[in-house]
Amino acid sequence: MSKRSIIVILVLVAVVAVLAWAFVPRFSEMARQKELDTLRAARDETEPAERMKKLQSFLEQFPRGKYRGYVHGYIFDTYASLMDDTTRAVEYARDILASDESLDQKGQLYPELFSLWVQTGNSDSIVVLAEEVLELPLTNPWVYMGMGYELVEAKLHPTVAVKLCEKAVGLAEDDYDRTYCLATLGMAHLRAGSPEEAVTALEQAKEFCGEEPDEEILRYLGEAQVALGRKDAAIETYLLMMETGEYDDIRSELTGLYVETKGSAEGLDAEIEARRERRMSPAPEFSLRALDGKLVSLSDYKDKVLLLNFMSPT
Amino acid sequence: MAEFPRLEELMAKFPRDQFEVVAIDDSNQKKKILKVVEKTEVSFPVLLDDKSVGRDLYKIRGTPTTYIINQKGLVVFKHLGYVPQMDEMLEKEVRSLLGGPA
Repeated sequence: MSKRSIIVILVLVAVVAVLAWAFVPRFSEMARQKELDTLRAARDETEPAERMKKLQSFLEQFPRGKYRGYVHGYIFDTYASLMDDTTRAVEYARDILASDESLDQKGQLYPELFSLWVQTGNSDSIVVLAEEVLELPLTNPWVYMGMGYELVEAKLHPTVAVKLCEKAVGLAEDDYDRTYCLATLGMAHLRAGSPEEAVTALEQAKEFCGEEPDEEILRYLGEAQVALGRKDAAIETYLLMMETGEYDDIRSELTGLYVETKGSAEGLDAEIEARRERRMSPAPEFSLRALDGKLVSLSDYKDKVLLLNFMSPT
Repeated sequence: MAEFPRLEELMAKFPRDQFEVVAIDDSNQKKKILKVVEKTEVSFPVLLDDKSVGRDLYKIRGTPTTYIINQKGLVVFKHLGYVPQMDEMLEKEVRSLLGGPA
């Protein structure tokens, strides 16, 4: 072989390697996107039989899919809620849990089963199932968090909820996971009668939220602060909540706290209004052509209330 | 697009010199838009967003996104998506801005 042809071959190999390096991740990304789209289409189907068909065909289409666990959950939910056949749902869960599906994929059925026990008030099964799942080496924090949240919502077994959420926090991989795992841990602590721990976890969750803290986090944080007698801190928490929304119960809670700390609720409405205004940003100016060719600007609507609707024809 | 007749209804509930509606098409599909506008006979302006006002200036993350802007030009309401309860929410919001009973 001549030197020249060796060089040509080497160059070709290099080109192929570079192309493969550049495109393989994109192909896998495309496959992932396809899987996600198929999942969403199935999830958003509202007709029960049709939904079941789409979900089952997903499982056939993506034998090694990343989102199989969600689909098992949706199938369970379709039987249990849409078809009102809980026996069938539980059978399905048992079959999948006994199958050779990977632990993390089938693990997502635990919160579903759990939710069903919680709803039906099957108290002993709840604790047994929770202990069982706590022993499993699942890596998805949302499984534990979801179970903890079910208990918090149902106001059942708060100490079990704390254990589940602590495990979830330990598994959290990013800020998003951490926010919701810590938030649920805080709620569980509050239900378990440890407001001090609740405040610590909820404050951390709030930090991760940044500018727009989750309404539920603030609600529990306020409740925990009230339980600790930290009225000024609770007022701040509830005012922050009122900045972005209107909650009748929180407004009356604030009224009570104002009366207790300042002697009267005078100034509360003005304070809420002022905070809301501070948060508002001016709408960016624009000039665009209308369908009839007329030029329309935001400033044409000065002194009026304007509803802007960004849309696309579908 | 499903919200066009509802927006039309909302607009009819308030005096035009106090409240107006503007739709901005994010898709740049003029023909399609024209068809829909003809079919639904909208009375508010429909603008063509060929300058990416929605994505770049208003940072919308999808359509439909609804904004309510008060008399001072401040954004008081922003919502992505459409749910039937929204009609009532929007009406309440506009009414409170116009100083009527909420």
